[in-house]
Amino acid sequence: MTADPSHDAAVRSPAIQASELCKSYGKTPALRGASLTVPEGAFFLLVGPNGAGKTTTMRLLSGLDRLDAGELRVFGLDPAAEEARVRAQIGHVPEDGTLGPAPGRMRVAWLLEHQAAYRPSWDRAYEARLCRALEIRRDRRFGDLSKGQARRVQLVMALAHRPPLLLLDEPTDGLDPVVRERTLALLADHLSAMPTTVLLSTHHPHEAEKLADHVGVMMRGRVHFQGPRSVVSERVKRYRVLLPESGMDVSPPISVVRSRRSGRSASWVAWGAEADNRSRLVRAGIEIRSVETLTLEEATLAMLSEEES
Amino acid sequence: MSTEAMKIRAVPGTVDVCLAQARRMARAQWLAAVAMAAGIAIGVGVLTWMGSTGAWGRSSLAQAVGRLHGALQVVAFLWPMMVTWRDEAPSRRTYHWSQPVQRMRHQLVRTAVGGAALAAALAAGGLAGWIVGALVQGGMASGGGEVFVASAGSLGLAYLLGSVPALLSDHAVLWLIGAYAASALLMTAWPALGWPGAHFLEAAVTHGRWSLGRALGAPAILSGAFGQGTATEHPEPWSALAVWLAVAAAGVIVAVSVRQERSGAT
Amino acid sequence: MTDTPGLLIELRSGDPRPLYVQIMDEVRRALALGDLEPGDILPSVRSLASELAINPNTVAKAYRELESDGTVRGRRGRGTFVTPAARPETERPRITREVARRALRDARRHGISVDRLVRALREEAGREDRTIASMSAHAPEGEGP
Repeated sequence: MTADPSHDAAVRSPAIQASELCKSYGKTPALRGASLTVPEGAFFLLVGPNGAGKTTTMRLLSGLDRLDAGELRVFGLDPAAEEARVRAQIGHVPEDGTLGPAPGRMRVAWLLEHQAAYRPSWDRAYEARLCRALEIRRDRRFGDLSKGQARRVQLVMALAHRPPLLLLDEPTDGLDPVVRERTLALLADHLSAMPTTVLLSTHHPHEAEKLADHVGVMMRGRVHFQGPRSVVSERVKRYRVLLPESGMDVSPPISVVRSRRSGRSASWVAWGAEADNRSRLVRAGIEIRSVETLTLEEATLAMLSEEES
Repeated sequence: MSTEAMKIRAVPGTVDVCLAQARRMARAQWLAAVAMAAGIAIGVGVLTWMGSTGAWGRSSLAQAVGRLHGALQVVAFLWPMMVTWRDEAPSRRTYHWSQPVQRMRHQLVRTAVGGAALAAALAAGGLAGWIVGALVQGGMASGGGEVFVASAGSLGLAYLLGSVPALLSDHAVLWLIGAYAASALLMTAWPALGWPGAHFLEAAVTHGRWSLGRALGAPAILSGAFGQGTATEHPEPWSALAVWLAVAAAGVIVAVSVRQERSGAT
Repeated sequence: MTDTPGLLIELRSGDPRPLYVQIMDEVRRALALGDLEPGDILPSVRSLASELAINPNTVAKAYRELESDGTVRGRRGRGTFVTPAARPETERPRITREVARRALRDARRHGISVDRLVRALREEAGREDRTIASMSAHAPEGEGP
């Protein structure tokens, strides 16, 4: 870690630094050279379809699986070499909603107590507040909980000790809309109490849009784009244009990710600086009707569909 | 941004981990331990009663233990699978592994805590049996302290041997049965087929000074539970116990270091 | 100076403006309408972030930007206060410019010229006034504000 006195987040050493991660389960490759940088204090939204490698990445970060190739550092530590220390910094809500084979007879209160024994920074008062907010019945046996209720317990287990890094793998999966909203509000509150780095993977970008300040798009074992939210807003826009009568079949002079055409009208979602693209379109004789910013969900969807085609 | 946030979180201390695992085992498996202890108490009590009425004469606790030993061995073999790692075969051990403790160390702690639970159950059962026996007989004969030491050693050995498949396989019971059947087959087939080295095999496994059979049967041998015959052949089982305990401990350490990851798609 | 200012911030999900800009605009709107007055305290970063379920950094950024253009001032440990300079008279022109910019953008998208837009605005305003007037004339008795 460099001892840089600057307070610029980009200069501080990142919370997660992953380079060219490769991991296969048997014959199935899950990661094929994925690189990821999550700055400290960032809320990083990881978007991608099933099988993209989001869960594998999180498991590697937690030291639950071992890398085949590549380099991975969490707060400068290697999860393979210092698994205990790395896991101590992490609160992980795993992909599957169950808590593994914790005996079904165990009550939620006992489970939380057991977890607290492993986390010296556990805050009992905060745990109680979280349970109240998420409506968790602490006297219920774990085996009797529904998937959504189990998920909520997992959230408490990850949040109550205020780890520097939160790995949330589809944390609102299986939760009804009201609880989803409450969970996101809880997360916002959690972040305000103490700056935390969050890596959240989801199928629904719109949900965490209000929380995220960094985005990563993952597909087929690679990270195709990552960066601050503002970069996405500035560099991916929708251009509504009118094509010239003579050159309707010409290929677009800007890098289009998603295209819709009807007659002379076209709606292009494209990469690049707006000024740049504008001049290119003008030079090609294409009339610009409007340039619109996209929501995070629209932008990520566009990027995902580009990779597919 | 406060510097509080950037403080590296501490790893839980070993003592805290041991206590956490002990508490967990107590809560999750107390029934098994109690059943075990009750079984021993009943067994010892019954045997002592038989001893006082039958041809075995007034027995000591050591002798009762010697006779019960076979049953206790089976329990010790099965304890890892049925108690220590119950419901947590390797494919379902993710929660245990996701704690901020080195995986290898965590599994060793759990193995040790399980062994301690077994020891506690045995001790409690033994004590209760002693009381029952004393009541039945009007006092228990003393002596045979070395039998208890041998018992602890050989039951510990059985526990460690049983831990290896429990640590490694989702089907530990099959491995145990298979190992027993395979060795029984081997022991009968090898000499019968006249293969060379049969003598050596016997020495290593059943009768020899360093054999497994001697190690596991130590308490029975020492207590003379089934007559004096075997006791005179090789007077002491300690060397066998020492050797095989070392082997079993090494086996457990190898078993906990094998990395077991979840296989399959994300 | 009020303890609970009349500041109610609503964020719109489809809005192309970045979240922090939306927050800034809402604060300015409250100032322009008189819901917020100089000396009033803004909600804490934590409470606003929690209430809106957004990243507290976003709220912090909005407050920083408002501070840099002199609308608010943060006092250590006390909170963020509206500066005396921020009065409806100063905020209204700013808001008006924003509204105008939005209208122009919309008009351009539909190929409407500035002159046509202005004419349409006047016509619509007049029409609206007449509708409101006729509605009040027919309002049943006894219905107070």
